[in-house]
Amino acid sequence: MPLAGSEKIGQRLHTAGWKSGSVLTPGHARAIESVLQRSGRSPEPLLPGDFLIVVSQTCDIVAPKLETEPYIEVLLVHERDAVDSRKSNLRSTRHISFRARPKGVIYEAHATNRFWVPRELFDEYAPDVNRSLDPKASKRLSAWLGLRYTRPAWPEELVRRLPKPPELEKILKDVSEAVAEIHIAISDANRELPTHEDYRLTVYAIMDADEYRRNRDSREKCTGAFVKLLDLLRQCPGIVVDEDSDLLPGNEFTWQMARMTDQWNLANLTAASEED
Amino acid sequence: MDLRNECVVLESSPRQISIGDISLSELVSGLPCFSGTSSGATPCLSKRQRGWTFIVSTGTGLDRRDCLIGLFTALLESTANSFLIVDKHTKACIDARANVFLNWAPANSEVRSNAELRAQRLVKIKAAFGMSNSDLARICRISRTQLYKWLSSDESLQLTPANWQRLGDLERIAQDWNELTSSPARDLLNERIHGRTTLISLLASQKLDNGAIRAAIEKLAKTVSSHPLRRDERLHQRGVQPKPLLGELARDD
Repeated sequence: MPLAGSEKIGQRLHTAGWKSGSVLTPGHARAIESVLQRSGRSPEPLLPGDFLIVVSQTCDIVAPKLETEPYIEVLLVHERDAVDSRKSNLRSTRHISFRARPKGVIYEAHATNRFWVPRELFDEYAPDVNRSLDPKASKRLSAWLGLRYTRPAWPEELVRRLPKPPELEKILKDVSEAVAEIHIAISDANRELPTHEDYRLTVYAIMDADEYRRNRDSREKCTGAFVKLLDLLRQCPGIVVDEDSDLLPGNEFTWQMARMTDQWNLANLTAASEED
Repeated sequence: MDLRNECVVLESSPRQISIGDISLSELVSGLPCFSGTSSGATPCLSKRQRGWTFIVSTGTGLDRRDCLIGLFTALLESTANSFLIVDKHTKACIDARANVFLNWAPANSEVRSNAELRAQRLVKIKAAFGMSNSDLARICRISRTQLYKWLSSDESLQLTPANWQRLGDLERIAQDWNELTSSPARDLLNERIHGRTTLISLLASQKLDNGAIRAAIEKLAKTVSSHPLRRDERLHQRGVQPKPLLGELARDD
């Protein structure tokens, strides 16, 4: 490998088109197969339909000096015929099933199948442009990986009492874009409560302020969905929904409130006991 | 069909009933527990005698529309076997159930459950005005705890005709607001219109003053779109774009 001129490696990788979401060609993947290794284990053999996606941030991939960023992180994915709805749309922090681009190839991955590959092993190779992720899919993949570290760890007992993701999805599916975020304040957020004690929740659904102000239909749809969500929560044994829960335009949800709440998404409902 | 437990939305139905030439949409618009724009018409007098419910026009002439509204209202409240519409002038009696219901078979898509219709109306009012639950409870003249029951999917909860009437009237006002502006009144609900009167105080009064409410919403609708720019709107004006949210990114499937 041409280590000479390593200070220019960032420029060369940039010129070759490497960025977050790039996919390695099959030949390139086979060439680095020997480094796809977990501590104390033999290298993972690549099977037909396996591909490697670059998940490092682009600024790290093209960092000028090799010493400052010696590795690029890749995610092992498997090509599939269809998106697995149980693993898509951030339902799980362990699995993901997604399209590389609209009508594009479908991949599936497990969050732990990531490997650090020496950056110089990307020199002289170019990404597989036909298989690489479009910017939206790439951002979503990063968000999925990020969730693994940033999602709030709710008590197992609370997760057990909350409605299951399909029930929530059924209510929210038509407003998933209009409702920007759902935030939830939880009493006893750090305690596993005995069955006779209730968790008290205050739920805020947040809409973009302009959308809320200008789009009457969207506001009505979101209000309707939120009413159903709260009704569903109120039916859960051991859950008390606070009267302050409401649908708010984004300009009324403050930094102070953000500090008191967790952002709620379906991945937060991934229990520790969930089967892989 | 037991109308006491089932409410039917007919506003989208173009069908005509067999009595007279009154369209169903025109007819149901006056009913307190039916979806549609309420005309505010007062249902005519209904009284029950020996298991019969008579619907009698109280006006100078028989207004079929009012009679039918009264009939439907009575049907919703009554378990009587026979219902008659009586024309005071011609003394003609019409067996209402036979003449109306045999020709009335709403499609499944038009049927809404009691709870669904109740919540739908509350949602429409709340969304139109951008109201908090406290304000919504206040204008319905119920407690917040009661409001959550009204908003629930509890089919066993039956509203009184007076409550249906109020809900229908408030929905009509919400509809009027929506026709004037697509923005919610939200911040303006407690703005003084004259003296100590606010829109919320008008909507919360026991008897809704339609004239005063109409004047108030017309006045407020003119000001609702001319609010000072928020800080984020000023940033947007300077060319700053909001960051995409997870929901705005392409879905995995």
